[in-house]
Amino acid sequence: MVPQLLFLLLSVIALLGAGMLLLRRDPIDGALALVMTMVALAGLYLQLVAPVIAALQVIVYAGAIMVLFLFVTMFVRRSEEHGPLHRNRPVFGVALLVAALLFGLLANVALRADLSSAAAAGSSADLRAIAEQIFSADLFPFELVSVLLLVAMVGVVVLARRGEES
Amino acid sequence: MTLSLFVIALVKVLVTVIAVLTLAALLTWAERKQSAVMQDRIGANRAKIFGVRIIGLWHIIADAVKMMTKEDFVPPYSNRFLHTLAPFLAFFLSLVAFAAIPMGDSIQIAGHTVDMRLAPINIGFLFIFAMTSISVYAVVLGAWSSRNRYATLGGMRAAGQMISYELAMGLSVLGLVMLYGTLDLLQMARAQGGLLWGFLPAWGIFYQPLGFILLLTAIIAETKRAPFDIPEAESEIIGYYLEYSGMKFGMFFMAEFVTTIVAAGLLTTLYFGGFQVPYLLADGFHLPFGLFLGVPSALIPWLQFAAFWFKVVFFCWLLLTIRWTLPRFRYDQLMNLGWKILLPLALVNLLATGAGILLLS
Repeated sequence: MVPQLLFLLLSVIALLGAGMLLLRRDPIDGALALVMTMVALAGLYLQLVAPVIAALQVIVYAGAIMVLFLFVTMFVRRSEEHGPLHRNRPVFGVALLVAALLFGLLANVALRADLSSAAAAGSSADLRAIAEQIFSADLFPFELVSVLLLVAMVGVVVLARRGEES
Repeated sequence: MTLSLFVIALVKVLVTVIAVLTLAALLTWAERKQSAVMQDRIGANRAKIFGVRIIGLWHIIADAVKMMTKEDFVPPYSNRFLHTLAPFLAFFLSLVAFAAIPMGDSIQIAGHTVDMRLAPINIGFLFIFAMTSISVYAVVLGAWSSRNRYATLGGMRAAGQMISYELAMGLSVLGLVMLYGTLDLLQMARAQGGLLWGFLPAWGIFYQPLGFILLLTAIIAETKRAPFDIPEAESEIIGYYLEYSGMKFGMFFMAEFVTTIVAAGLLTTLYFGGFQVPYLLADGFHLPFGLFLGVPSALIPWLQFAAFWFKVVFFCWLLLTIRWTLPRFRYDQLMNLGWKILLPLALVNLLATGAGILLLS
């Protein structure tokens, strides 16, 4: 009874955050709504007996990435952003199409996934298992992703510095 | 859940919360009195009840009454919801982090094995880390929702500092995690029970002296206390809680002291044997040179509990002393220390620990 209620509560919070992220006009409110979703998701991971994933979700997503989002939004936002929402019809159509595609893709994956084995794997997902997965089985893609992030970082610095030289 | 388990859980919650909050209240007094002694002043001694002053201890109650009866001012044009949420968030997150710290080894009560921490969290260190990383929001939201530029700038400074030192804080402990092969704080504390070379207690600090110094530095920055008190700097450059008054300000204030206690508890558990009493094993004191002193086993949990709180109070004292000894860092010094000194040193420590484990095993 209690686990089901908790699951329901956390799911509602996560969905509420996601909905607010889409509907609120103030970007700060949107970012905070996303934090709410992240924390609720961490709670759901805890329910799946994956405490390490839950802690990492809070530390990395809620604690680091979203703080950065909030930081940048607070710094660069201007007062005119409180104005009415621009309804650009063609862009809106494309966005709807992409969203529908993405939703279809995710729904497909979710429906095909063998959830019984995933739940069994989740219960043993301690730090050792995760480390073995990352640093032996999937070492190459993992290192590739870190190189990709480095490239993106260097690219951002180059783009940001371009204006200064001229 | 049976009734006895419920009662045990209730007692644990009450004991922990009362102990932490009492110590936090005492720290507000200790801070004023210790700074006074160090600066050749007398310090808080005016409050008296029926002419009794008891070295200024009434000031704790006087402060509490003052804060609760002051006007709770919310600035106009501020975001009222976030403005109210921020101090609650700060206080809650600092207090809940203590739940993962073991105050003693597991004991048997009425046929149940009772964990001497609030929550049996097996990722202990990561949990505390997660709570500190979330507590940045309390600072940022409190600053931003006030709609005051000085407060917002203070909040930005604070957030920058907390994010920078979080990384060094996490990395400095990883050496210990590699050594003990667990994130569980109870397991870590248990692993520090034996002796090193026959005479030293096998505490973390003797294995990871550099890690301890790095964590101590990073954790002072996380608690936002001098020499890392740029976020606050109450009288000079104005901090993130500028627009708070009454008990909301008090909650930020208390959150800082509770964080200090959590920091002391974490330092104790990771590097100073946690609840371990030096030379005390299951049957008594095994001193060097073959001396032995028997202790009844019923007394041992009490000794451990006392040892844990003694060490916590010691670290609280140490943190207060550092605060009143070192001057404040400039912002560029702060960033240099975090990113160019602490972070590389933590990585070197990690590498050396890995090499050591590989060579010795």
